[in-house]
Amino acid sequence: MPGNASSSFREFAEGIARAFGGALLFALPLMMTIEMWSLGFYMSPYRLVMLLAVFFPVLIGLSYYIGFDETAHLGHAVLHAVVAYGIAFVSTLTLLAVLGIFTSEMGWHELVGKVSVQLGPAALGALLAQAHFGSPPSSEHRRREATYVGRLFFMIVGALFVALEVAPTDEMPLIAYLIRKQHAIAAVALSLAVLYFFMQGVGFRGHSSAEDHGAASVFLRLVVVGYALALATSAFLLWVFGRYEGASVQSALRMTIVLALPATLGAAAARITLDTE
Amino acid sequence: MTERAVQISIWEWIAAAVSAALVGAAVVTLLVSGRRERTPPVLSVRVEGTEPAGPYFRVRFAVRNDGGTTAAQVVVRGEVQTTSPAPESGEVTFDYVPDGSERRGALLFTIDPRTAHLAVRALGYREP
Repeated sequence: MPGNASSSFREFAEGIARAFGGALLFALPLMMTIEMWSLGFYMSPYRLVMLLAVFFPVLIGLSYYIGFDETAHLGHAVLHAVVAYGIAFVSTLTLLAVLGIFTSEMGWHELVGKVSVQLGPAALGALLAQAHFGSPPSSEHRRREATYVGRLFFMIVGALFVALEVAPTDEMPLIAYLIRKQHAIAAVALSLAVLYFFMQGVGFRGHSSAEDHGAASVFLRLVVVGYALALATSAFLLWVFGRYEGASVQSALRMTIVLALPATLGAAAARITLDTE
Repeated sequence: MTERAVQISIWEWIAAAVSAALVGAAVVTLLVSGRRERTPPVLSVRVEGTEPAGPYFRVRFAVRNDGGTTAAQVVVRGEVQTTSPAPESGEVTFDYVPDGSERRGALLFTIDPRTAHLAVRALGYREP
């Protein structure tokens, strides 16, 4: 693709514009969430760095399979993941400023913390841009050809996509206080049922990994593994947002099960939100 | 695999360099503030001015946290002592005063604090 400098700049600018659109579409609700503003300064700074580090491989994978622009190979996807963090930084800074979150009374730690806590989700949104605004045949081809492990990765992204929006809110521990043992068991059963029906295809074509396999195989390979991924994703988010601090094992477990409900829904619906089928 | 040849343009390298610099700076700031000792909050209240405000007198103040961690639910209390035995008091609660940051507020009194003895202090806080 020889193309002169101006046309390559045009293509680049279009990709960046898409990325900004994707970042805003996903992260704006989180930027308007009060808990996210305070998490930025009372979370340990090391944990914020950890959040950025753990998101990075997820961003690389997303950039490879969806992204905000075409990528030639995995190295190119890494480059785009870095750019996505930059786009997340600029859009977070702009939006939080517009929303009046920044004041002259804020210290450096508070300012940087408030921006950093939003970076992972906003970058995730930036790299999901082509799932919303149309994607080129090459990454669509990659998604169709994805292996079993690739499909599990889509489930994790789907779980993050839904769980992130509610994970930082005070409702998570609150619901965990309200529910009793039987509610928690019902939530687990509901999560498994949702995954199973989505995988078998209710009203739409079943999951391609589910075709030509018996119900027991689908249940074990996709449903149980999918729920385990949703639980792990929920546990990571709750831990990062400091919800486990001072919580008993019982209430930590309940919180995880509560957050795993939206996470499972996200994982189950990944093929719709990420267009992997 | 028939993928169209996609080249990495110079603009993408520039964007990646700028992004790496921005996020790198944020990470360095976080690591530096993480290295600082997580000392408990150190709160101080500074009175910034007193003026009439409708039927009341307003005492504007700033509460500052010079400690290493955030204080939540910070209660600031003010008392105006006149010759009468019972002092007039008022209270304000701040949701958060993060480390290294300030928050501003005001207390309202019916007695003019400029003609009496005024004391404003932080009462306590909660760990977030």
